[in-house]
Amino acid sequence: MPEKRPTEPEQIPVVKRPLLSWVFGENLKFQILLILIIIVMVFVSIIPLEVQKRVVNEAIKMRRIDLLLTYCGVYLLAIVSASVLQFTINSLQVYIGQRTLSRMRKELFDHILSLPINFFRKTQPGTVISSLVTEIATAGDNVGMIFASTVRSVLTLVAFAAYLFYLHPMLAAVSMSIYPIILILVPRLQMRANTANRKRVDATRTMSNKIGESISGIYEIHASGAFNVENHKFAGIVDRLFRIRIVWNLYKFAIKVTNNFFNNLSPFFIFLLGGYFVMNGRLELGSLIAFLSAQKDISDPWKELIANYQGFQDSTTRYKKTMQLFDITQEHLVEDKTREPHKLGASVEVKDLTFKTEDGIKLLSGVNFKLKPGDQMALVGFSGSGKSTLAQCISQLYKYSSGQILIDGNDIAELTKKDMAANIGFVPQAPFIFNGTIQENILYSCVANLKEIDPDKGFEENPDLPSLDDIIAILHQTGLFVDVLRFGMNTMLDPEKDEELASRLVEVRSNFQEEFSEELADIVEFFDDNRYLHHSDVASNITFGTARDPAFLSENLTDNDYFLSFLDDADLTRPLMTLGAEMSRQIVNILGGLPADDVFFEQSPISHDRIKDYKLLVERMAGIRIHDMPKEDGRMLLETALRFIPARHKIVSFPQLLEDLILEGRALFKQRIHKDKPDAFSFYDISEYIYSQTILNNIFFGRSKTDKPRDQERVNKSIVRLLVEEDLLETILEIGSEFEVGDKGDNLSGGQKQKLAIARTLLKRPDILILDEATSALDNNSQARIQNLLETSWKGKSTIIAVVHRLDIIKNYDYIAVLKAGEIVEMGSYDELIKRKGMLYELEFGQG
Amino acid sequence: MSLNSDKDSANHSVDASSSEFQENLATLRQIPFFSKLPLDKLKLLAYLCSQVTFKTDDYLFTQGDDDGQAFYIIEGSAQLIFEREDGSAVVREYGKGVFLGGIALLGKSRRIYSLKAKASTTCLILEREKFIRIIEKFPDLLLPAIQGSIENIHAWEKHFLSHHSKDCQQCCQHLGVSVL
Repeated sequence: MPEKRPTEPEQIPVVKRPLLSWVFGENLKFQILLILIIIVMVFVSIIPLEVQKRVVNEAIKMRRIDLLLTYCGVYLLAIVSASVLQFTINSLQVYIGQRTLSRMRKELFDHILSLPINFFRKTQPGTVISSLVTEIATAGDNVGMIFASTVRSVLTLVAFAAYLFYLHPMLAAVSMSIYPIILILVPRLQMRANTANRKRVDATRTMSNKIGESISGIYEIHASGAFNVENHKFAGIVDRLFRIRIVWNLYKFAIKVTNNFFNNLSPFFIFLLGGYFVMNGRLELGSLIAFLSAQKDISDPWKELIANYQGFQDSTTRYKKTMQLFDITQEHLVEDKTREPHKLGASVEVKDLTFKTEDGIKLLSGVNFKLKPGDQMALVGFSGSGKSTLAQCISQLYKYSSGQILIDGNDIAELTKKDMAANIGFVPQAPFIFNGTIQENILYSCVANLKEIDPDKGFEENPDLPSLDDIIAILHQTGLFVDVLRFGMNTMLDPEKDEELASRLVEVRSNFQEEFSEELADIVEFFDDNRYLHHSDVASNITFGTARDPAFLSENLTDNDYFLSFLDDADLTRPLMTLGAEMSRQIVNILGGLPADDVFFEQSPISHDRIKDYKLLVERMAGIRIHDMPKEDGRMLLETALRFIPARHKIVSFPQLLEDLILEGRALFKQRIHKDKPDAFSFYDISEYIYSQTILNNIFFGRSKTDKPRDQERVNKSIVRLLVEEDLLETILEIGSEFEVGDKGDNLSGGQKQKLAIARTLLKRPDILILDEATSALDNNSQARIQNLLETSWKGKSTIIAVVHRLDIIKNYDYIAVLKAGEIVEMGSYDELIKRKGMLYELEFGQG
Repeated sequence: MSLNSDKDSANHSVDASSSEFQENLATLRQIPFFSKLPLDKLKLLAYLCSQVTFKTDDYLFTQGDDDGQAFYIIEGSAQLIFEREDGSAVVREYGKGVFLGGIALLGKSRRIYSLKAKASTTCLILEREKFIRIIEKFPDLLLPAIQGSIENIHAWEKHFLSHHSKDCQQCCQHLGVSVL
């Protein structure tokens, strides 16, 4: 559905729009159509009443079958068309309601995102979420449907009332005398309900805030064992909400009950008066029946009217409360639709800049400096000196209190967010990584600067986005290359989709073995039919392949009778059980009483949830020979033994004899499977791709023995060389850049996140680059690499302002500004400042 | 070979006495930093340690990194190196049986020196993350660990004073690590 882009500059801001303005506007056409259908519908719904009267008064009284049939036909026609019309009306109502709601959500979300950063520092995410998800949903839903539904109720009411008067004016007047009473009572009750509702919104918000706070502070809560404190606080809020909700609901029901009571009172008058009139012959029986039916039918639209009234009041309350919360003026315009974002020069001038918090605390005062395009400046100082605040002010994240920041002579207070994004790149201290792939994250800033965002268009198809080559260059420069390559190498291919790549990788495998098998022998254990694999478990050493039949998967082997009887025949059962027994004893002894924690259990063949069972098993084993043990216990021992990886589980030694025995078993197993179950396994074969293993292990045709970074680097270097030769490097990098980073980038390390954040900012090649301790989580080498990049290929091209925590990287900056208590106390080149023996000297060499 | 008689099973019985774990346990008991800990905790440490072999000229750790590891040299030797812009200087050398980096287990710090294998060197390595996790579960281990460290620092400075105080009057003005 094509819709206008929200929030034109001349429009009223979304938070100031009255609730009813959503009802019409773009829905006007639908509303008119709806009302036309309703008018027809109201007319149609009177027909059955008239038919009813005529059936009794004419057809039955005069005993005319033909009339009876005609009337019944008309009746049938009327109720069929009423049903069809009813459903049409409902469909239109739902459509209008949902459309209104989705527009409200989109526009409000758009508004919320553009609110000043300060708002988000003070507001819990929970409040914003519950506003957008719950409160506004009820309001939007209701208000979208309410108009048509009210019109319909009123029309029906009027039509039926007219019909009643047409039947018997006096009776009609009496039966309708109840409505004025309701009209006096209900609004009074509703006012109280509204008050309770407002309290409920506030209390719900308090509850959302509390939940948000507890989740954010979960580390403190666990560390201090403060569960009771938090529960107590939460219980207080919930109890308050409990009371408010009860009052609120009681008022709502009171309205309903009052309304029902008076509605039911109406037939009482009709029986009394109508009965009297019929007995006197002043009214026909058919008319009385029609009157009673119509009276009953009139109460439905009336109830609906009251419900609408209640719903509207509820919606208004929720809507006002929600909009109030977000009714904050944006500090900066997001974009000016009438023009392209300005393309500015890269000079930065700060004049007499002051920044005060809302409480009046001065974080910056009287800051002055001027940078020519291409100048690089470092901001240093103790924490709390205002260096980050200054960087954030220049990036337009905070609005300064007085003074000026000029970019190419333009005051940034006058620039839009889009102008800023087109000229400035900002890397924050703790960058946020969005859920998605590495590639999506790296392109994030570039995509944001596009004119049109088309989610269905990949970057390959969009000429305004950087090419794969640009991305690879940035990966290299920021040092993310190795990480992305590793993600690519650790990917498992899909046999359906990647067959071609798999066959090429098999070629790479044979080249790899030719060139590197000796050089990397100490890091890689190659798959070799005749050698024991010390970095794989016993089960893999026996089967030496990938199971295609699930019964032969490692975890199912001890339940697989074919495999168990094979172990017997290969003389492996007893020695493996002995191995399992010794391992179980050791592990239970060392880890028996420890809590579930990866650090303790990652080197253990027995997982934490099984350790209790093994504890009991070890107790049962005391004094019993292994061959006397019950079958089930024996299987548990086998299970442990099959998981044993000699290079990893060093708690027991692994006798050579057993190793040889297993190698013999391997040959026997292959023979047997070939004969008995040829489809159950694919054995490791140097000419076949193994889809159950990563790309890396496939190229190795073996397993990496270590995870030491240094060794990884050696492996990487040799593999990169090979992949370049085979022209596969880009393919692997592309696969690696499809790596899912997880929520908040949880699958990445702190360093990788920072490198990714730097890469995504550098990729848009900003003319002014602002770094807020952007390299703080990096190791020395990575930090030096990025510093070097800035000092060489970015030198003189982009203006750089870098907040720096570690002083070893500042020497080559053109200027160093030292901040203390919100003021620049000295500024100059590194050598100048050191010579002066002022603040920088003190920071660098201490006071002594 | 028949595996049916019980006598035979002795031939290929799996025993723990010669495993890496047992070696690690024996090593840890010799290191003063750990020797005060009770046996069951030492076993856990021995299980969490790993033996790593470094080739000649490999770095055990690098200046400026926070690797958080403690090393015990089982075999071989290593050089402590201070790297400066104008080149690097060998500070001293460590041989077999030396334990380094106990302090790195206790808290975050970036290395002031680099350590480089002079020959093929096998070390027993314990990582801070694992050590801290044990301390978290058994807080009463913290005190003996800290005491071990402090005794170490005192012994070092005492030794330094008694051997070098005459060589270098100027250096001695900056001494006083143990009274920090």
